[in-house]
Amino acid sequence: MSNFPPLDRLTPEYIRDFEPYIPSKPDEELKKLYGCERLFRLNNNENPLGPPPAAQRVIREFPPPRASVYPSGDAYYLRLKLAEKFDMHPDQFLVGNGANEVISFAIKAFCEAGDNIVTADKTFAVYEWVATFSGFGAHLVPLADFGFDAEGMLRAMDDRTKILFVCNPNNPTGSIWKRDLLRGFLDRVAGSRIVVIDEAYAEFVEDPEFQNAMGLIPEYPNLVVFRTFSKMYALAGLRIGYLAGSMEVVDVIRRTCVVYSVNVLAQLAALAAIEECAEHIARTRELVRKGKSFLEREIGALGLEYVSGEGNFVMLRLPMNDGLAYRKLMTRGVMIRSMTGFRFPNWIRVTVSTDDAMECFIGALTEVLGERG
Amino acid sequence: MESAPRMRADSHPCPPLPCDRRQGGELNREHTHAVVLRVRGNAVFLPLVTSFVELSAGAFGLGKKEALGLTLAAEEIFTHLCGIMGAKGGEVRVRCRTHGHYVRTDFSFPAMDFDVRAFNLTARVSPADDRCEDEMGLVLASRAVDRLHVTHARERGLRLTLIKEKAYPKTEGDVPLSSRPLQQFSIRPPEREELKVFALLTGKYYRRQDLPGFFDYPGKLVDMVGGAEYHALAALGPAGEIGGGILWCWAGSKTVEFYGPYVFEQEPHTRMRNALLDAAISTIARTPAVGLLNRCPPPDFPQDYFEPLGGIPLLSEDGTVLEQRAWFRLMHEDPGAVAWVHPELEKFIRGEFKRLVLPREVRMVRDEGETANAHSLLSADFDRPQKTVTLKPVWPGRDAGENVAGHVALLRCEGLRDVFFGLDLGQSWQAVFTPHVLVHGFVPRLLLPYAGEGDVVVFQLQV
Repeated sequence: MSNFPPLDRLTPEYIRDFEPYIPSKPDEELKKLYGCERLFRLNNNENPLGPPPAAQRVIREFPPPRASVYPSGDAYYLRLKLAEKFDMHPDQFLVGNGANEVISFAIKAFCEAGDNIVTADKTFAVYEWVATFSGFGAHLVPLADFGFDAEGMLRAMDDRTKILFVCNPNNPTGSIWKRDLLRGFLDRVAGSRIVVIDEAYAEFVEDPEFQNAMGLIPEYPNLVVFRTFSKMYALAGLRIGYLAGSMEVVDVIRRTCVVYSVNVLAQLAALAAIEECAEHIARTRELVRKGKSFLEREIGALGLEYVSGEGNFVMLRLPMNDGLAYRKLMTRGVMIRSMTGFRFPNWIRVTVSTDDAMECFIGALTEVLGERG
Repeated sequence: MESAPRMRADSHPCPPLPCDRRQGGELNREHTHAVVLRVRGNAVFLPLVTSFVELSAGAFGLGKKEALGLTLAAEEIFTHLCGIMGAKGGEVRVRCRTHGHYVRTDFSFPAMDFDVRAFNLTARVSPADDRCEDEMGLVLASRAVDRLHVTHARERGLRLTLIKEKAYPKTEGDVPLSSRPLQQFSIRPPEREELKVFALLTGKYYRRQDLPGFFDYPGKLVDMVGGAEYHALAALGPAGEIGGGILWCWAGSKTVEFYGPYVFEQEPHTRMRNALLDAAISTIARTPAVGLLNRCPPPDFPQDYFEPLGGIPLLSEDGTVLEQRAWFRLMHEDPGAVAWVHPELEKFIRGEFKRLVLPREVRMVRDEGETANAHSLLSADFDRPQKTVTLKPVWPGRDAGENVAGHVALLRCEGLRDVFFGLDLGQSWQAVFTPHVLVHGFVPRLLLPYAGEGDVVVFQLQV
């Protein structure tokens, strides 16, 4: 009938049915659309302090001609540094273009047609997305009291389950699995599946009972840990993250790894960030502690339900549609994350940030709620 | 099969949205069955086409009367197409599909060789055709089916669609069922018999005027859900007692329309109601749905989950005017959009964008004297059970004003309760219809965010 490609026939059903994620427009465009002069970005859990000073220095001093040379294809020096930091072998690490990319590596490495992953229904969506648009199943287990349900996940496993994804701390609820729960879960899985612990927010955790999963890799060779430089290390704009696991498991995942996907500046900045980060982490934790305390007090005063766990974010329930709240807050220069897409209708998540941003958010929220009459 | 009573006269009228209804079968092929016939557009094939449609309709479960109606409409459509195609007689693809509670017949063909004018409801195939406008083939076809519409897509050319619903027995009299408060409940898709009980309980506990008509036909509801076009969740107690439920379906490629939540005898009422709504929203949240719409809100509708879009005064069969309130929520953060607006609609549009806090870049569209197509095309989406029709621009042309006027004159005589016009602000070429729509008596009523390529303005013809 025409030269238009027969997309119905060419496109797999699992792609046709998949909803593409539409990222928000650049800040300048958003400011024009919403008519605001400044914009506090409280939607992506970015660190308002910026990267650690050493990383900032590397970025400032980066010689432009180096942009013409390919980076290390497998982030060689960064892996050496990570191995030193965690007392592991460099080949136990794979570096990706943000932690999102290593999620893809892991799923592609272990899943084939008919397989599935198990994760929570209300967590970071990318595990589910990558599985779904790759044609694999995603068994979603409801959260129990805002936390991952270990028993539920074990029950959701079947013969075709290849990977269990646990977000610890969970985004967006901030719940954590403490030492005994995590170890008990790994013992119950008993090496039969790959267990991924996504620790994107691990550096924010102050609860002494939190189990850093990196330390469990020698005991559990089926364990894979994700980390990112986007949150605590504030390198989100450079896109860099990594995974760690046993040599054997990482060797399998490496086969699906796209080399040269991490740019040279990201590698250099990440290297500098972990070399000199203690003071940066302490300052960030102090900012988060103070900001959360302020938010909890103010949100409580507004009579709103909230969940404030580990991590640099707080989630709160509004007596109104979160999409409308997003738009109204945008007109007041505050960008938060609406939570319908996380399956938390009428909830929003707000990044803990600087004093002026927190005060602006609370002021704008008070106005928005007041408009309801 | 004897024809059963159709929709209640006093059931809540929900006319089709001014966007194509997304068919469940397009995403869930396993739930639908289709048969296809390819023929030249030549009258010699008319008996083949009518036999094909009649036999397919029967095989897909339509009663004799309904199958005959669909066949008559198909005869009118194919005859009309043969007249347009003339001696060249290009290929026509006829597809019949069952969607559980209705059978749909599509006539598809490339549009480039024809004058699009011929697909207007008011079209005459040839100057020699001396029938009255209301005896034209498309008009006759529209009377024999429940729904008819024309769509134009780059990849498919033109498509004429006929829809004929199955007849179902209506629930009559008192329902010997009741519900009781449930301390514990779980939410899941109901089984067939549970769905029927849910329909009966909804009819018992809610006023007829607050419900869509299909609740009077439990068997139909089962087929609607079984056909994958509608989805349902029910709240059930430990022994399977039904405490409430919610339904939804696609209305266009980006909007989901839902009904409920309906909750029976629960204390506190809001616990189950909100749980049902949360479950439905969570299910829909990771589909391609951009917006969630409700045009039949029950009295206990949870307004805090939604935004009021406004209301449309609708005339019911008994002559009273009901205001149909529409509630909406976006499923995603609004990324902003461009709206192409004619100056005569600017005030209404800017007012709605401000009231609904929609981030839009308004771009004005004016006639700057550029060359335009000679002839325009309007699609008329009939919903005969509700006695409504919705016009939509398919193709712009210099005769837009004359075309709108012709349609209005014709439709005023069709015994319809309401005539709507849907204008997509995401398609700049549609703006040229604005002054003609306004001058011929249409009034802008609602703005539906992202209901088309962009936001859609729903106009209503004032009587």
